Amino acid sequence: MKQKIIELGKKAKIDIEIFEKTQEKVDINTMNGKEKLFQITNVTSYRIKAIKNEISIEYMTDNLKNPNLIIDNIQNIFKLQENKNKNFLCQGNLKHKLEQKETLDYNKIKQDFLNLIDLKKEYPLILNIETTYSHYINRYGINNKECSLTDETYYHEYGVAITIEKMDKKKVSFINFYSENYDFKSFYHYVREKLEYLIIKLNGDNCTTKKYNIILKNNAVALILNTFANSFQSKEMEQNVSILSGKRTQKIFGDKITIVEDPKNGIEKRYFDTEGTITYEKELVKNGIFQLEINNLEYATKQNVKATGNAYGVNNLYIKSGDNSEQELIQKLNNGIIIDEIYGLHSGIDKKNGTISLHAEGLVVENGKITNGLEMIILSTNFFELFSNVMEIGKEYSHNLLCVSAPSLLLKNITIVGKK
Amino acid sequence: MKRQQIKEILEQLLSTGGDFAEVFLEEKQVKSFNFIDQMLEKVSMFHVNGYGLRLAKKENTYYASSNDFRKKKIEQIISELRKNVNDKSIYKNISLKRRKDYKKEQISSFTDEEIKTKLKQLDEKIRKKEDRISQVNLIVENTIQNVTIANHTGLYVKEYRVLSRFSIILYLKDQEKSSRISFSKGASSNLDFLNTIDFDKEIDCLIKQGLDKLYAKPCIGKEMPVIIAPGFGAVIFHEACGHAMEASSVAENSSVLAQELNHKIATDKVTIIDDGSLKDEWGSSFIDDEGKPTQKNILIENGVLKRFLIDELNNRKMKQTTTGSGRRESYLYAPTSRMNNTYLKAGNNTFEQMIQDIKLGLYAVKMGGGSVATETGEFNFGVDLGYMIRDGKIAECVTSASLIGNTKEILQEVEMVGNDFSLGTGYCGSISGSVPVTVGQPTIKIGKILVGGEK
Repeated sequence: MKQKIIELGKKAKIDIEIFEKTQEKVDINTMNGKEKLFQITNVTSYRIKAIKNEISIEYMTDNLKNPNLIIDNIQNIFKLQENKNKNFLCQGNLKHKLEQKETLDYNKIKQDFLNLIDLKKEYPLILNIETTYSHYINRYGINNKECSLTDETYYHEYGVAITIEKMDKKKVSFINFYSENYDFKSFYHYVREKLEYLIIKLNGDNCTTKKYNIILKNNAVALILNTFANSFQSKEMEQNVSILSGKRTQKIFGDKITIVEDPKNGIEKRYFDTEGTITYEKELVKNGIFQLEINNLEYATKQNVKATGNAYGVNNLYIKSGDNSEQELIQKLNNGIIIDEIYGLHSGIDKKNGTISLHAEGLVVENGKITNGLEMIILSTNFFELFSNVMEIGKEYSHNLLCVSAPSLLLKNITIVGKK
Repeated sequence: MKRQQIKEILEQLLSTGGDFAEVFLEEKQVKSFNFIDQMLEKVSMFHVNGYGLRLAKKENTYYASSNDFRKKKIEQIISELRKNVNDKSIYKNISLKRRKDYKKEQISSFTDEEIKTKLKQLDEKIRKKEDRISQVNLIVENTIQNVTIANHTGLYVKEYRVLSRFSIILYLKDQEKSSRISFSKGASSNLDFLNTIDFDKEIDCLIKQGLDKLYAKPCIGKEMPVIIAPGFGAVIFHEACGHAMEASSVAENSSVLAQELNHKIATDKVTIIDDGSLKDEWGSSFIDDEGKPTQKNILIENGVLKRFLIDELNNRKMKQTTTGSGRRESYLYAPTSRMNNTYLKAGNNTFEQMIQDIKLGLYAVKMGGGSVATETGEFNFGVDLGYMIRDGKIAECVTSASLIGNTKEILQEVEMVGNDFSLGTGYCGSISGSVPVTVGQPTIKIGKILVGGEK
């Protein structure tokens, strides 16, 4: 069918490129040691890029059964769309296959998650443990009249919501974790670390509204970086909708911040983007200076620069780590607050003016030691202030997102809003 | 899929002893017009056609989704699902009723060219009104969705749905200052709903808000009384108690409201209703995604928790009545209980009554979304634009503050409820995907809540 559409396009003087994604997924959800949901997914979708007189349009479908209708729809879009930016089909061929595919026993995996209920024996404060697990296998392919690319990736997503209770007071922690190969041991270790912090926060206090030195934990840094990831896109910058519009080559963060994107070496390894541009490692920010925008073929052509392979967004975007262990950061903080959870990013962050106002939780550090928990507080800062006030950088990366990771940051003078 | 094939799938699913089986078919076409940089920059079309098969035994659910309609693939999927149940077959011969169809007029009187022209005219109108506008983004989206649902009880229904949405996003700039402000409206009707929008009024209001936001100060951070504007301000209730009343968490006893049925959980001024049957509203449909008719559900009445939102399978634990609230984003998800159009009933307080005694507070005019942990009741939502209240008067404009609170505390802080009711549209994300919802309320006064800010 793909070839039929490419041929029909050729007859209509339209160059057609078809990006195909097939996803197979297995989901296992449990609640308090009982299976709740088992789900399998098998879906194929197509993104058709059509170019006529160097202008392109996009058409998405999960069904190629009616090629004539598809071409008709494409022709209609050409009549309406006014974007005259030039675009091209991908060139070159690549075939990336998984080097070693793991053999998975889903019954064993299910049992691992059911057995998390055993944590209740060691931590009697645990009220509920709800888990989610997903295994993804993705196959990507691009075909046009001249080239063919294929890629196959897989990864695992783990989640757990642990609720603890003591004397009618409840706290909950939502833990997300990703890995390329099945790694329940690392996930379990991470869950225990989070649980220890959660128990401290159960008797959490509040604080006075003022500026503090804080440690922003790696999972929280990653969430904030992820929210602003598309701000580095040329398209958003040129359309003046990005916070970074007009800031090319400027110093935007502190010296210690270097931001890298390395799609081939992420948890999910991507060798080409949805337009077939081969991905590569690149520094977007070096020592605080904004070095490089990311783009798609349209904007690479428009700006006469190299295409960066970011038509779909980012993959394996990270802040370069430092040398400090989590314990060393706490000692260097000496007196201040650790923010270990943030919520409400979709509404508490203004991506244009950079304002960050987020529901948060954390821990109090006094004389280099954690002394108490903090809850119902608000992290109040700004995108530029956050990444400029960096004193030290941790060495451990976060695992809570697929495409973005970060180390913990020791920051000075950040406003925390509290009730006291 | 034809009737006979659906019947056979149901029978095969139940052949190893399952006690619930369902087939969900979906065909969807989404068309969107993105107008930016003074041109129709992108027209997108997205076509989806897939199915979800659900099998359950007691409290366990097994689900599969695919868009591969080949017989061999369907058989393979059924086989994978059936492996999870090993018991004597209860249902051998499914008899599907005559299919009941629910229809909406899906085709608009607007042609694509007319939409394009309208967007062009709006863009020109907006840009002429204010020099400090640096970018205008207009989006029109139209979704035509046909769903067919059949289950082991013989239920067999089909709904022809349509959703339309219009958004304006304005970017303003004055030297180093910049702001972004947006407006959107949606309906469960075709694009003729554009004729119901007073564009002049909305544009003028949006530009004024955008300019106020451009020069806005950071908000003051502390606990204070808050007056929340009508319409989308009701996101406070959507987050504070709406999710906690969904069976998804109540059935597992993990919701903070799970044990509060028939208890007084809010002030007398609070009556909250969820109604998926409201005509043409963004969160409405004739039937839910389990095939049950949607209905009006009074959730909280004069402060007393009266009922939860309950879907079919969660009701196995709850043993109450289902409420026509089973929803899912698409065939890729198993449904669960979700909100539709959730609103606070109007009262009779005036704005003057609300503001007069406030020494220092916030008037929250434009809200973003929010989130909640239903286990603890801790919730948050964003204020995109507000004004400080000082000594009973509206004062300086402030921006971008989060408000955070706890379900049980905040419901007791609803001191006054106005009479200027309106609805706002948005999307809600949860375990069965992202679904269109509306929230609604008149102006309300909250006694105290923690407001994020700078000092």
